[in-house]
Amino acid sequence: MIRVRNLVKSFGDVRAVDDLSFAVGPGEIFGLLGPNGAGKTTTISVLATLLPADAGAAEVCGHDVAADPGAVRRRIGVVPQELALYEELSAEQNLATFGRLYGLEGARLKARCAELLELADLTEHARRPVKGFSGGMKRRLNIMLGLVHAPDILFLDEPTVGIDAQARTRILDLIRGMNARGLTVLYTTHYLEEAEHLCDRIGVIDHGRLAALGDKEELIQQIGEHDVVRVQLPPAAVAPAAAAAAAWPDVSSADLRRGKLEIHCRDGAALLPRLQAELAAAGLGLDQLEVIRPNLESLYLKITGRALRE
Amino acid sequence: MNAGVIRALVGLHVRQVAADRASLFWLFGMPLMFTVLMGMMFGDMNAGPREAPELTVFDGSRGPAARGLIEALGGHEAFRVVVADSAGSWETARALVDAGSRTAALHIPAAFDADLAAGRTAALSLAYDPDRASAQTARTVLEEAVLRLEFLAAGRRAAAGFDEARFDALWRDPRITLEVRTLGRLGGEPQPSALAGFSSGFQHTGPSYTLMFVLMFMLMSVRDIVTERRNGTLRRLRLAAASPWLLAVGLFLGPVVVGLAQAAVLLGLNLLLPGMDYGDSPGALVLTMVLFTAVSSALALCVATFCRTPGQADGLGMTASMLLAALGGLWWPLEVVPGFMQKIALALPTGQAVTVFHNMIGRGWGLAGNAGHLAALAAMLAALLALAAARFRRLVD
Ligand SMILES: Nc1ncnc2c1ncn2[C@@H]1O[C@H](COP(=O)(O)OP(=O)(O)OP(=O)(O)O)[C@@H](O)[C@H]1O
Ligand SMILES: [Mg+2]
Repeated sequence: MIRVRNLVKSFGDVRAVDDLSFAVGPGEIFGLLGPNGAGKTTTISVLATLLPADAGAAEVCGHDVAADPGAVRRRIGVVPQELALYEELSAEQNLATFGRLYGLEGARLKARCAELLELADLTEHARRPVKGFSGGMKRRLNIMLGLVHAPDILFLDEPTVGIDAQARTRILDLIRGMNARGLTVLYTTHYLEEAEHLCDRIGVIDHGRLAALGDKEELIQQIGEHDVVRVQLPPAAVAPAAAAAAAWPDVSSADLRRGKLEIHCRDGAALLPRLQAELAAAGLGLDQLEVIRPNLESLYLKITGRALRE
Repeated sequence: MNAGVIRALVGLHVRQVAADRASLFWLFGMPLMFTVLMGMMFGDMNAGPREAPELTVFDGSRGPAARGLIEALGGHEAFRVVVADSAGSWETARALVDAGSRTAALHIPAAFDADLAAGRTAALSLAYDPDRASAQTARTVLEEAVLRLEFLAAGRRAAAGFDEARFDALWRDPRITLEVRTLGRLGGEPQPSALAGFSSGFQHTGPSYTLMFVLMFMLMSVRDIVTERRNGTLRRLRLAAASPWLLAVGLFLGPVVVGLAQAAVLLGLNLLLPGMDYGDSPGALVLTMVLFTAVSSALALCVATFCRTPGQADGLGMTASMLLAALGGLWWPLEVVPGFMQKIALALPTGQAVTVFHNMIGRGWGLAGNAGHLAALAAMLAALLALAAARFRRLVD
């Protein structure tokens, strides 16, 4: 449904999208995960024919975005990152306006508006001006405005920014529901857990480049990351213990971090008996111990070098 | 499909305006208040009794010549003559007018009659308020009365047996008549009021304010376009409208429809006021308003392409509408400005449109008489549309 090849887009000196390639299949929910300024919105804008690319090619529903933007637009729905709504108008008027622009009229327009209002659980509020809506309601309407003309692909640009957990869950359920009816979704976010729970496949993007691509398992394998065993020891004991542990088989490194002994190894659980035995032999008790398995979070941290919650 | 897109965009604009109280206030509320006020001020000129301003006379002489002079001042609509009990002085006369309580004050010194009788030069002083039309009239009337006395005195000096009664009779039976004919459609009809033959002040300010409010509302909505670009709805429109040109046409036509509705309401309302009409050519009236509204909308679209922030839109929009209104002659008649300013006015859509209105109302000209001005408006429209088209990409990208 979407095929992106070596896409480049710069703004002055900033390479917002830098040699990006990926593909999205029909019926898929594809997540584009990346921190602020990673190039997510720019990518969507190029795919939605709103920005011309500097180099590379992008195809949506079999149409080249540069050569045939009109055909692409008819097949896609775009939900922008910002709340692009007419605040003075009612939810119904907002939907009807875009419905008319897409050529819907009369009974068909009415039916489609009613259907979308129902889907977004806004039927009761259909006639109220949008400016009185809660953040979650506005976000849901924002999504529905991209669906008026029943597109095959929906581009969702961070549709859950700035709303509470409950409202977010509702939106994710909504997206899953639409996906179940056959809608292909390109979803951008900087919330790792959203990508993890919602998306079939994830592309991690940073500085405009694709840093990793695949489903959850593939991504974890890609990092080639190890388990981490962290042990709390008396300060004096840490350095000798680290030196000793570094020599064990299957251990890639062992050193002192934030006052704890940190051992990187292939299999943390398998290491525990030996660790216990050695500590006992040295006359040391085991105060606190944790084994951290690799997850998307550590991958994300490793790739972007930043802890990203917001 | 294409007509549908444009209809949808026009409908959107109409709904937006209708849903926004501030917009409605500037569209109809404010102009209605203005029109009613104007009507109360100018409509009154022809109707209803009014207390005429007072001309006070301090007669120190109390002689026959002074009495004749005072008599000659009487009987005018524009002011009423009140003879003070005291003889007064030039200072008192002046102080009264200065204080604003009299339109003019005449001081006749004690020696007036005696001086005239003795063949000496007699002095009169008139203090008058230059800001009042009634004072100007009083001055003219006084000058005429003085002229008569002057002739009388000249006769006395010229011939010993001068027959004053015969002179008076001849003076009252003039040999020359001056008939003044006002040109234009109102000139022929006999009109009882002091404004006979002139179009009333309101006949000109009414259409001027209508033009001003249409222009102002249009330029105020530049802010809305800029806001739409900022909040992303404009981009949504671009995705939904089949082509950017359809979007441009829609963004141009929406305000035109609203502006024409506004013009119809305001021009219609003006008609309810006394003495108001727009001449005999509905075609010229409609075409002028359509062209002017279209020019205003195209201008607003152009201005929008130069603004990044709503603040800039407000600033640029306000400046443009003030300049166009002032320079185009919507605030004061173009006759009072110097020649080069009149030329500037005709280079502006406001100047052209208001000139058509003057031609329609005062002279009764229709489409043919105004063809040049209408063509100028059409040319301005074409130029602005070309500029808007050239810069439209900047607005939506
Ligand atoms: N119109 C523009 N002009 C100049 N620079 C831009 C423009 N749009 C984006 N950029 C820059 O391009 C880079 C990528 O921006 P983009 O908006 O695509 O990131 P993003 O991943 O959507 O970030 P966010 O999570 O904050 O929305 C950023 O450095 C941004 O400053
Ligand atoms: Mg973004």
